Amino acid sequence: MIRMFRNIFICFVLMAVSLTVVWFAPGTYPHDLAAMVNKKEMLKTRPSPRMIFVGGSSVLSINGPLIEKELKHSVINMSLWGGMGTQEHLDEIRPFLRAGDVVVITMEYGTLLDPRYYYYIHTNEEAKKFFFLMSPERHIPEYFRKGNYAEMLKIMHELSQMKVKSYLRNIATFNFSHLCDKGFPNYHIEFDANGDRANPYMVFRPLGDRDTSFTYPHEKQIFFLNDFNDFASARKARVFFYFSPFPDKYYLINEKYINAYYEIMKKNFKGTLINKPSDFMYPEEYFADTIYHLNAKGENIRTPEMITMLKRAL
Amino acid sequence: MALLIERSRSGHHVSPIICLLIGVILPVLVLFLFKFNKFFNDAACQIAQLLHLNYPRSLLALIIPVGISYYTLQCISYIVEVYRGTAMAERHFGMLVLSLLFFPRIVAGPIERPDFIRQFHEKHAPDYLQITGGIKLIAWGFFKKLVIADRAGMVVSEVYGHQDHYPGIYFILATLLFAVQVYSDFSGYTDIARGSAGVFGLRLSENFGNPYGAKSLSEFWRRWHISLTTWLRDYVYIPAGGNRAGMPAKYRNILGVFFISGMWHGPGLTYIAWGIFHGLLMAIGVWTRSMRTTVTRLIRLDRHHGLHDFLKKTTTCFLVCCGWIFFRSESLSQSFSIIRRILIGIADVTSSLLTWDMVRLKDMSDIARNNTILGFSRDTYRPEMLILALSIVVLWLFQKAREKFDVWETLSHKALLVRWSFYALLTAGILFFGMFTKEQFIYFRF
Repeated sequence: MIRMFRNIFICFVLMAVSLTVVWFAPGTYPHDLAAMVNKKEMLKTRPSPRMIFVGGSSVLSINGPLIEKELKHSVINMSLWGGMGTQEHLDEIRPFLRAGDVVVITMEYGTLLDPRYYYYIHTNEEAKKFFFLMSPERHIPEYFRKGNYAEMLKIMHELSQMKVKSYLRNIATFNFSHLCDKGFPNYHIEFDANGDRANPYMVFRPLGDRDTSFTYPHEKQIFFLNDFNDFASARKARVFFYFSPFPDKYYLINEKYINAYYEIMKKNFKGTLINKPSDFMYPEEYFADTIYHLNAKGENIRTPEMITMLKRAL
Repeated sequence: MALLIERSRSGHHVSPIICLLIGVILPVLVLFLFKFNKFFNDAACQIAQLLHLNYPRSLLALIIPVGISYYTLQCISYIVEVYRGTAMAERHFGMLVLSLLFFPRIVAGPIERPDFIRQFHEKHAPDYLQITGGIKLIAWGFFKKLVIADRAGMVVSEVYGHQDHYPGIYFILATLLFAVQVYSDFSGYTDIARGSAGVFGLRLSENFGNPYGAKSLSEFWRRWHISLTTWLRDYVYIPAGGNRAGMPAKYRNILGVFFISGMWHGPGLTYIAWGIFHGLLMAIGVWTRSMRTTVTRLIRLDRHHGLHDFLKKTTTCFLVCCGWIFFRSESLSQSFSIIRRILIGIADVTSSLLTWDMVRLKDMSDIARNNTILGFSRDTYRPEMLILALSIVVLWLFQKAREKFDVWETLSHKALLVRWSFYALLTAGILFFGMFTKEQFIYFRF
């Protein structure tokens, strides 16, 4: 019997060791959200003064080099996907804030005005996993504190599985030179040095998410922005907020909700609001595949306009 | 009832046949009530709606007790065997219930015979070899379920669930993968059940014997879900006359058994169609046996054993896979639609190849949907398919080896390094390639 328990124990130890080895070994994760790991590197290395963009996929198409040139700030585009949650996103960048940093935040309308999407964001297991991957040193003690050992192990196990699959993919495609890359495997193809999308969004019609039904937002939904603003102020950094682009046709349908959102922000937000929703209302032809993504033509209008707004606020 | 049957033999004024009838009809009625409750409830609701009556649909919707299909059959075989005098009625109610509801096999079998109860009366001292043997079998079962079945299931669900999006040729792949899925899933469960029982020193019967290596449909049924097939043979086919009552009765019995087998899986028309399909093929097989033997001799195929066996195995596999289309489909119309799509798909590919129309072939390979390919994300699609292919090869090699020797027994006599390397690979396979989703075992629903 002792022999059997010893062997079972050995099996568990071997499993734990193999998981640990895979966890610490360099490698990529074949999932879009793993790009957060690559983006975090920019937070560590880019020189000050810096302008950090945080938002959803609508921010991914901005022209970072143009902003850098015009505003003389290093641009770090930390945005990836609105579904990850702005609050969680801001929590991740807190430790990397430096004096003189400007954090430019946007929250796409759906993330606040669509109750279903709002609920989804705050229960999104996939995002949780990749925030964990982004800074395990911050999350592991948190899980220990809460006693969520099983959940932590589950996340680490799932991420290790992904890494092993990535190794397998690289080996099968004889892609040995990228075997030890970090983060998202195609990061250097899909993103530029600022973390913007390397290519504009493809145009598809009809626009996605056009039937989303909005409702009134609650004040408490933006309290975290003020918390972050207080934190940034203490570090001598500034926080700007802008309302994201939206097709004018759908703006008219949802005007009362969007304006309510604007009023709440105007009344409660302690940082700087650099625009009002109507400033970024564009015709449908400026949009790519969804009501949030601008195409190349739309972006050529939005980035210069944003630069003007940012210049004013700076 | 079993006790009453025994007592009736020693002069009690109770007819054993009445006891037998009650003992058989009662569990069948209960099974029928639960299994067909939804079917009849829905039908009654529709009739009530037509007649503008208030029908309490939710009130009459019953929750199906776990494993009812399995222990009902076990109850029947127990009563019948006691009636036949081949088994003794169990005096200890706890032992009887324990054998019927033994936890590893309650939800999906194997369907044990009355002699299984005897094992609960035996004393089981902890035995190292038995326990480790059980654990190995559990690990192998998990490998089949988590690495193969659930991964294949992703592709199958994607293709069968989005019919309009996929060219017909992909339904061939999905159906083949469903064959792999259903086998790995069910035999994986059986291995886990047998392994768990083994840890407690109990032996459950084998339910599978490399079914896709069968050379005929009748051989397939001797290798697939053995405990159900033998149950149907012993308690339906043979009592109904079996092979002894002439050819028409034999055909009737074959069709009847497969019809019941289909019904046992559920009230859906797809399961009944699946049963009838197999029944018809078996009947045709019996009818054409001598004809096929003559043709084989005429074309001298019987002299080339390798080729002959290969053709027989391929044909059997093909027919079984055709049956799986009915089994997997949501409705009968979907089954026929898929068959039609497969035929159109084959015609499309053939004509494209004959005319060397590469553009058309490329169109067929463009199967991305919502940023996914065959149910996997674009980034993980390749490694997932590679893992699936490799694990199917491992399963196939294991089955081939098992036909020749007892893999686990042989392995236990190998050097420590070889043994542990195998265990490490198996564990690593489950740990890193297992799909830890909330996917149920397919046969849980029956």
